[in-house]
Amino acid sequence: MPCIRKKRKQKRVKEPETISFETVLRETCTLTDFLNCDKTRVILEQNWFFEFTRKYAPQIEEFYENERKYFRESNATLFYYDTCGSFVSHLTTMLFSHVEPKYDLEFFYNNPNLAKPLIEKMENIKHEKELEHKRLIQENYKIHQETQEPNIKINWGK
Amino acid sequence: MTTIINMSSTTIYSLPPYQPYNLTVRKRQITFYDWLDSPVEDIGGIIKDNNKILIHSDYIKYFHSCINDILTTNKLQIHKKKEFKNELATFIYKTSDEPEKCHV
Repeated sequence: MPCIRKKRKQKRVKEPETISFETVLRETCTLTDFLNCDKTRVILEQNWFFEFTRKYAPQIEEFYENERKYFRESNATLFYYDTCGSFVSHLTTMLFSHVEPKYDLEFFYNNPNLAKPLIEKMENIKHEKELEHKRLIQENYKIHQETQEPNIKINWGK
Repeated sequence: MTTIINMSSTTIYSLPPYQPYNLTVRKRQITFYDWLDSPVEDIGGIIKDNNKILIHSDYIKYFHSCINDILTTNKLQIHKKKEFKNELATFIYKTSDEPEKCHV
């Protein structure tokens, strides 16, 4: 008869801990890293523009429209040439160019595949840094050898 | 008091207004700085705020503070504050007309 306990005795093979791509991004990449990579920077800028136009621009537009209507109704000098509120886009564009952007990295944490170009770039940079480090060590070694006194004869007591 | 200067051509101190599609724009008769000091007028004449004549620069200050309030409530910051204020003033200037007496 097959031993029933045999199964229990079998060693459980521990599965290697898998680190998700998201945690790698959270722990290793900073905002400046995202901005230094062209592809991720474009995504961040597009998201910021979308958020600005969706969330903040309507508030500015509402305020401007109230002011414009108030003065236009009484035929005042202020906003005289903005007859139908078409120039509000000038205001929001100007604001967008002056406001400090609020980049949201959560987008990359939720869609880590979009950050692949950044990881590739960082790996390349890491590899290049290693090569540079090796090169510097070799150069230092050469310089050190050249500056040392040549052929010092040592008498080993023979 | 505002000084009325006849300006045949537009200079850097008197930017032309934005051109709306259904309206012709009048040539600027006073400089931007004179416009700032000129009173805000409507159909009833000069606008007064608490018995004080409201001038365009006062309104620009008010407009600027309102925009700043919206930005701060949304935790947004302006990186070049002075430049932003100047551009805001230019924007209001370009959408606005001069007081009527400048065109008499």
